[in-house]
Amino acid sequence: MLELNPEFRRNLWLELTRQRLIVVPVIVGLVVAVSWLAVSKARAGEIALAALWGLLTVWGSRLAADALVEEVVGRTWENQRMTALAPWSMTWGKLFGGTIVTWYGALWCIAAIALASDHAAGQIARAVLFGLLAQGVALLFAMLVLQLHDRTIRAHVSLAQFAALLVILGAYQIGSDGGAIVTWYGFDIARDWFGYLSLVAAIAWVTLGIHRSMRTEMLAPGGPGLWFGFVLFAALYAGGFPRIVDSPVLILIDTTQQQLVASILVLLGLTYGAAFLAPKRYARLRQLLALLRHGDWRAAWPLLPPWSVSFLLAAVLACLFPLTALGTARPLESTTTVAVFLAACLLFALRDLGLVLMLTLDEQRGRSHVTALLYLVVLDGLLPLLFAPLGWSAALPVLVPWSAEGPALALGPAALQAVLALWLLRLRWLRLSRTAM
Amino acid sequence: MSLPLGPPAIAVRDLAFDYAGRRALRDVSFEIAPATITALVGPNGAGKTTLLKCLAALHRPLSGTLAIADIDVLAEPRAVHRAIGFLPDFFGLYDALTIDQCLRYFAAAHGVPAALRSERIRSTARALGIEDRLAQRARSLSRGLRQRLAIAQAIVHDPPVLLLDEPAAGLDPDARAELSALLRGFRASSKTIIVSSHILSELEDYSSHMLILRDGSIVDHGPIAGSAAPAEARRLRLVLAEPAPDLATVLAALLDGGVETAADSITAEFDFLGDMSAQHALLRKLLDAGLAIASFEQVRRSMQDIYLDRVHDRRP
Repeated sequence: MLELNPEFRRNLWLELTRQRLIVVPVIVGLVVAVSWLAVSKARAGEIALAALWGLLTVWGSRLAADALVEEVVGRTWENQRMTALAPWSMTWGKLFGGTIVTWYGALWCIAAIALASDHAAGQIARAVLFGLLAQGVALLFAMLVLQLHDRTIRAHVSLAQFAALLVILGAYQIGSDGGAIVTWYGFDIARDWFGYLSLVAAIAWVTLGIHRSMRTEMLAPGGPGLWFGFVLFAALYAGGFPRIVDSPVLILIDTTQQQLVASILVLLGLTYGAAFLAPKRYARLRQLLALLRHGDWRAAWPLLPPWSVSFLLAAVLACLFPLTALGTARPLESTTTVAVFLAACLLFALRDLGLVLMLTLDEQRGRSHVTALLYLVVLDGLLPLLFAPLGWSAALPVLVPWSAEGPALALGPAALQAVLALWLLRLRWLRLSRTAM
Repeated sequence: MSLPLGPPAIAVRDLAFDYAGRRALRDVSFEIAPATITALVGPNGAGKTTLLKCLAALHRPLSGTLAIADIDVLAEPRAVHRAIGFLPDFFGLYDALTIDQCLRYFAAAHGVPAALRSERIRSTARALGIEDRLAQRARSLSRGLRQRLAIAQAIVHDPPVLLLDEPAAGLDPDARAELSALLRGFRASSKTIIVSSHILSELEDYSSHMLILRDGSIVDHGPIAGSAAPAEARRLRLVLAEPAPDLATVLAALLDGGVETAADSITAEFDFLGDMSAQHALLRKLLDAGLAIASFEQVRRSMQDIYLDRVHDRRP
């Protein structure tokens, strides 16, 4: 006989109490009934749909993050890690078990929508898919933050919920922009279907990400293979939208070149994300360096940090970019300008990676990730914004990738800063090495 | 049913573990025989919890190998989890669940077959003395009963190896006595147990071996009775009924040395290598030498004495 996943069943015991089984449909029923009787049937359908969104995204993301954070705070997480449950069982047991009450409420909302609205299947499907994505992102984010060994674990539920809602808002915004047709790699696709497929792909990647994090928590062997697959997918997906970044420099080149640039920029963006959210264990990095020094690539692969994979992939593609000049009728200068822009992007990313690592390698320091984030906000956001009002626009290449002033000014300061950040990182590394002896 | 065990039950080789900027364990190697209880002791920050977490496949070490019940801990962490039970120093319970639900969850999560589960839960609860409370919620339990439930959760799958980190912390004297009795019972059931604790007097009640860690390294490891003396040696104490000024000379002639006599020439302590027949022969020679022997016995040194000797690098 097929047995229920123990983690899912435990969550059913905890979450789906008799009281909730009664209260949830009563509240949904009352809200819909009041709006139906007091306003209109159509209004009741709209309210039920809003409740469905609220339940699955706002409350659901909170419960999904809480499914993990509560274990950590309640000191039961180590007991769970000690069980023989497979990472998949733990993944779906938490993802659907921890949020079961929202899905129970969602069923009642869907029933109300079906009664009050016609042709609402598409809207229900969207709410359910966005709900799944929100809950997945919240749980994934909570897991990643947990693995950073940050001491502010209490705040992580709200932080994970905020991250999930930010992703949902961004995805919703992107999905709603423009007309009924999406042009992807030159193909015209109905926006609704493209949106559904994109959401399903995002949910699949997020679920795989949670599973990978669960494996890490359970010390199961693994490497950056999944991350490599994801960044490859993201680069190919983004390549379908050549003007993904609104930069004047991209007007100079043709569509195929723009697609490659879009892929490279998305890879660099993901590198920043990974630099913050992937665990940075000094001991693990030391082990990796020792293996690389001995040329033991096979043993080194599982230890490669994810940010290094996406950064290297971006660097390889950026090195290949000049070759695209062979396939374009545009003047060579256009390709050169963009190549310099990409090289500057890589150098600034290298600087930022150096800074983030330098600040976060020491696990004994609390809130180091917040400090690193503040540094980057100042360096990459506030200072460049300050330059324009002060009339220092010519000096912008010192802080942001900017190739309009020529290669020397675009690359020189960026390279200098990258070297400085790496030197600081080396100093921190040597200090940690000395104290570890 | 316990998994079959081939000796040793636990084998650790060249284990090293780093926290950023701090080496928590260095070149740790030891073997633990089946059906023994090893007291893991050492000052705060010695690396006891880190070692237990490495053994429990909760921490991945920098280098070294660990095997439990012949399973490579690093290669097969999930298989190891079936073979061990672990009680962390600060444990939590699912307060809203009943004892039965807690045990049912952990039995299922540890892969106890559904058909055997109810019986395992009953026998575990019986062993821990909580059988009559299965319907009670965890939140309503006293500190001692919570400890018992936590141990029950750790052993509900009947693991051959048990790792307990500070199991007596926060318990009142009654609950501590119950815990000691429980662990003595485990020893009789052939489980291999490592217990980390600061309360040495209680460890002494049930431990067969002691492993001392200091600054991430092993200072001493061996059976408790002989761990502070040379191999196979016993510490003997001789007390005379009346002072004998030549006591030290007589003993020195019969032994190789290492004799400590008291200032009043009435007592002496020395390490003795040899079996009980040799000890009997020595006693006869001492009587033949005209010493008025009032008592002649083996000195039982407490774990506390052995621990302090080893940690502070003193020989008895």
